[in-house]
Amino acid sequence: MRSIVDIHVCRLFLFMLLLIGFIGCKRTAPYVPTGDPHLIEDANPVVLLDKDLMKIVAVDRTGAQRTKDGRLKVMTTLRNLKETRQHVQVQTVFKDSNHFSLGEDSAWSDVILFSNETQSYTNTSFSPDANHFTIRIRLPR
Amino acid sequence: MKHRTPLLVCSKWAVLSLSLLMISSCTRTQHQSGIQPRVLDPSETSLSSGIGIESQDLVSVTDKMARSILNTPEIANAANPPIIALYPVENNTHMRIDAGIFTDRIKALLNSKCRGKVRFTSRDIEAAARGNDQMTRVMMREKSLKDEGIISGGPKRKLAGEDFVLTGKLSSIGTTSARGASNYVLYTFKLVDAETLLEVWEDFSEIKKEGLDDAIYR
Repeated sequence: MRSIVDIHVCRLFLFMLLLIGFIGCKRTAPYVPTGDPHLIEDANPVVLLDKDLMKIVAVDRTGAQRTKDGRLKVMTTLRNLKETRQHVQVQTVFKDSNHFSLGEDSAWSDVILFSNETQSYTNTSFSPDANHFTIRIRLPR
Repeated sequence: MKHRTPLLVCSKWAVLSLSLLMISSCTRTQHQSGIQPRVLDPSETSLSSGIGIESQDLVSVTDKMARSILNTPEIANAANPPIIALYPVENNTHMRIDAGIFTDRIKALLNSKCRGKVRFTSRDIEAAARGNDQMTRVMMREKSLKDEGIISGGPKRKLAGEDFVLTGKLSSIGTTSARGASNYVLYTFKLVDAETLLEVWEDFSEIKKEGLDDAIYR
């Protein structure tokens, strides 16, 4: 009887060691990050950061132009798809020709949309180096 | 009589220790009350948020103003980068706040993001009017030491005088009832031509909040 217990305990001990070894050997730092070379933010001028916004806000028109001193001015329209007041936040990320952020992302602006209302949102980059942009829309944080 | 081999005893203890280790490593610790300290983005609303002026307002207002200043023809079309001096911001709200934080952030944004489109003088023009501008006093002393040849220095240059003065005003309207409180704050900023006192630029931002006025601002 005692020998059976001994065998069980030893098996359990070995199993635990194997388990720890397996977990321990599964990954070691550093790790390779996940990445997508075809980012949605690179391909689209306006993105929604929350799924619920798909049913709340429509973006009808988006455009950009250069100011006289060469800075990038972006514009978009936000339309409330609901019959109720909606609060969203909007931000512009200004990017260089390689789609890297210039580090001059705008602050998040609060936009209040009343029922079925359409509002314009504009923003201008600080520097003339901005060649691309992404307008992000999110629910209030 | 029970006979326990050392291996068996060791194995049991090892299994027990390992099990405890695994259980304890999977357990999260929580504070008895409140939340763990965490880092927030300044644009986020914090848990202790109220209806007063907060970091997200500061960030959005100053960002709007800094970008707006650059659209002014006097700045955008200037042949040489105009020099701007800061003048204290007037705080007419009922909130105790260092209103200078607004012009400080506008200045920092323009200095860091615009690469020489505008320049700021470190002269404290309000203190200078009272004869109490420490920075100018120290720099003048340094300048005279350079002129006397006591310390080394580059070519002689004049202290930079301002072309424009940036200032602003914070005003508020607040209401309180049994159901809660609301607070409206109007932020106005202007750029004044230092020669003519003409206001060459002005912009504003307005934020209204409502809720339970339960936050204490420090």
